[in-house]
Amino acid sequence: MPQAVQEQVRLPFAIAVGVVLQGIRIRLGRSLVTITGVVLGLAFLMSILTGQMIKTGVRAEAELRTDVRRMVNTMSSEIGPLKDRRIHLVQEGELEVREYRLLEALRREGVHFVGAGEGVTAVLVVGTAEPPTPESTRLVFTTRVSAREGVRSLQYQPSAEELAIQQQREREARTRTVWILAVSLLVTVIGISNAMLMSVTERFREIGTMKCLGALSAFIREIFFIESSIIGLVGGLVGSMAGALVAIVVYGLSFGLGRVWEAISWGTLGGYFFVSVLAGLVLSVVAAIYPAQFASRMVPAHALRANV
Amino acid sequence: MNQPATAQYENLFKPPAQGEPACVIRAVDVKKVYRMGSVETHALRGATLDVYKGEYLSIMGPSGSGKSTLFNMIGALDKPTSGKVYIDQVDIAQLNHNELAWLRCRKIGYIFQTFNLIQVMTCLENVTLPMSFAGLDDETARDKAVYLLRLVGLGHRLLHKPAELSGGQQQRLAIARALANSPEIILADEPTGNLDLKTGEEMIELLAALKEKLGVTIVSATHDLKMLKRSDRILWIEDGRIVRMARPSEVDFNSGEFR
Repeated sequence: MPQAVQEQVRLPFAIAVGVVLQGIRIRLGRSLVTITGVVLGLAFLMSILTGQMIKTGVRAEAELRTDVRRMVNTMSSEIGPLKDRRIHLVQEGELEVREYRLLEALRREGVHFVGAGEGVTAVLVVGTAEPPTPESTRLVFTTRVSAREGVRSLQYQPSAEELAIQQQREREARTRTVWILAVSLLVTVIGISNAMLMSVTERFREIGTMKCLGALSAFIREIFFIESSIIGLVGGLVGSMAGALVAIVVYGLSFGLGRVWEAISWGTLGGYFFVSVLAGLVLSVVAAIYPAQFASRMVPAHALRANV
Repeated sequence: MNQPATAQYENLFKPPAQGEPACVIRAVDVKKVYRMGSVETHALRGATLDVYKGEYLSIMGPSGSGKSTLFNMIGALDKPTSGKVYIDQVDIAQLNHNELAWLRCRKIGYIFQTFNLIQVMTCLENVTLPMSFAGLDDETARDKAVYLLRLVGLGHRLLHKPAELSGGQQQRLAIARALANSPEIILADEPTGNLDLKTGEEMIELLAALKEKLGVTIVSATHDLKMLKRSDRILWIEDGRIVRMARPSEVDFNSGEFR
């Protein structure tokens, strides 16, 4: 009596991992090409993201400097040279960055900040403090908008026309950013899919052979799942790091490394890094699993004939 | 056009000599149609045959005759468009994916014209792989693989990659791999097709010796006359139909025709 047909046993996960690691090691040259595909895709995405962040940061810093210089100029045009002036500082609540920077700038100009008393040229109100009623001899400046009579606001109030131009410019910049990000994401998706698709389809014959030797479809899917995860993760880490580094160096060369360094928000960069590595992992697995699934479901005779 | 195949070929299916040997493969009116868009290719137009336990059956025919298709059908590598294939009395159309994998793993060993070795693995690993699929532990698998590689004369090439071997050696490796799970059936699709005359002959001798020594059933698609001489039965296939079946003694090997 012939032996009854049984269900093929499923191999333990550890064996699949072993097969994959061995495969990557032996196919090192090919694996590196695939990983490079993933690395390039993600480096592109990450450099665009980091570059956008640096550009925004550098621009914000430049605007802040202009703003502070304008405030200092306004004050000196009202009260004359600032060197050794005594200014009464009224401070309350949280200060904005531009207020800190204004105080720093004034100190550099030689202003002495004092309490109320003799020889005070002007009063400077920062934070949420309420500006006092101006006396005839003293000027009262505030960094925020004030409705009080005689209080000079240093806050820049653009005209309606200027405001419209600025808003228009911001809208355009936002559209451009979204466009660039969409294109870079597309490039990344295509680059990674292509690399993974190639690496699977060129192994159709091998898949067919394995099926002839008794491999389960699930085992083949498992192998490609593990392999693409490893490639996606390694490629993601390397590519994201390389992309961020390239953006920092390139912008550093044009803006100066110091300014770029200041413009980097490390929290945001970390977020981008996480998203980018995740994108690499997910894209690699999705791009590999679909053809692997297709190949593992192929009748072995067809997989063996496949010429890619 | 469609004649009832069984009746037409009835006289061809006489078992080889003594007694009533068991039938390990039975194909009944197997048809295969390949569709490429609107073009239909009838690769098999109703093939019926029995393969008996322990015999050496050669399938002969010009290229494009349906040899390889028949080979794929009886090897459970492809599904027939219609008709039935039984391996060890089991209708393989009734098996699910996992059972088919089990069948391919344990019952059948495949040898291909193009060797189909896994290039990234060593000889030893190529032979142990099917044993891993069968759930054999590493040590037993390795010992058995070494034994099999010695058996086919590759004992000194254990850690070489297929690319470092000659064509004949690669086919020996494929034979060792086919024997890994001690299958009852060896299916060989033009095993000498890519080999020179001498290595081809060696391969034929090796297969014949394995048949004698291990009692495996060998089905081989070929148009190598030397393979025919060593086989127990020869089956001719033409244009998707089995047209003749004969014993080597009935064939004139100088002309390739019946005596």
